[in-house]
Amino acid sequence: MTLRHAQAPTGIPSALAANVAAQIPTLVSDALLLRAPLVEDFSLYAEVMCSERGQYMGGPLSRDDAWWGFVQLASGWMLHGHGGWSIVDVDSEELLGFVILGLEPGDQQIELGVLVSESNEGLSIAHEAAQMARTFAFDTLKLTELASYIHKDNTRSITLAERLGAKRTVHDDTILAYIHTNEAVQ
Amino acid sequence: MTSFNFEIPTIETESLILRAPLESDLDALEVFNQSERSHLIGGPLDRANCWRVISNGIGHWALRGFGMWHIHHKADDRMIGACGFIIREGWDEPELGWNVHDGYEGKGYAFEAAMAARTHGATHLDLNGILSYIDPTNHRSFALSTRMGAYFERQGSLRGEVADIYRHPTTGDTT
Repeated sequence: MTLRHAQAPTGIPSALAANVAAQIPTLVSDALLLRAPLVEDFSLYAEVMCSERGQYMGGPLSRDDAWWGFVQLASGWMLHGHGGWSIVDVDSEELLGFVILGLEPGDQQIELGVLVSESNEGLSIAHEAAQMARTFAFDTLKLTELASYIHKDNTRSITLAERLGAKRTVHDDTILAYIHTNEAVQ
Repeated sequence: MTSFNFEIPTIETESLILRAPLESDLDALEVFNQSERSHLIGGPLDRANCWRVISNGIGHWALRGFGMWHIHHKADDRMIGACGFIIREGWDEPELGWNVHDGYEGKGYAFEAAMAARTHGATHLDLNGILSYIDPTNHRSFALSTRMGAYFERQGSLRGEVADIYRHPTTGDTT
């Protein structure tokens, strides 16, 4: 049985939640659909962030801390007009991962971050989802720069950032900041 | 920027306005979450975590369609606490919770806010006859839940701590 906290909303609250979800822009490519995050998507988020795989993204996190991170996918839209999406397969709608245009106090720039489930690593999903979110940030939100903060030992994410054409800079002793620039506004 | 046409409902009472959590509440939250009394509800929290409280409060409404309001004191024009509905991992079902910041406790504000929230929940959010988890050492909240007509249902636990579970009466359809 799914516990109450992990269930989709029901009754009147489900209409309120659906109203929010409907206002989060949906992005589509040949392979992927980026849609509003749903409560039920948290289990995959926690699976990544509470495991060893979360080690380069501030983890492994406790379930509580993972929830606080997950919620930012949704709250960002209401606080800042940009936030996160769940990445799903465009045909099967299987949940594959998450991508965010995030902003926390102290951040110098809006952050482009992406995570995919273990079984979907290496399938270009992260690359495509990051490109979709970045294009939305530049073309629709008219942002000029995004940053991806990456642990210096996280070779997979470094490869991805370089494939995306982001410029490598040093953020601090352990973190690199890869800067994505909107060429159209230069 | 994309603008959102979603409003967390606002409830006005005689002295208070229950409204959405705002980023501008950060200073008030930080002061409260340094205080001894915040320990009863998960404090102390540093400023970064106070921001996450705001993000979490708003995201709760977005993802679940109900959540917590920040309590705004009309005469003093400031945030003095929070009140509303919460469910997370570790909760059996949605809870009606409240807290009031230092200097505003013992003046009936928590009662005023909690009653307004409970009525709104029962009539507008399908949250009727809900529970409150009360720390057994939190005598003030015990007194408030009793004053609200809630009754002791059972002893339970919340996030590994013993908690008394009080059940609120159901409200008839008053719409």
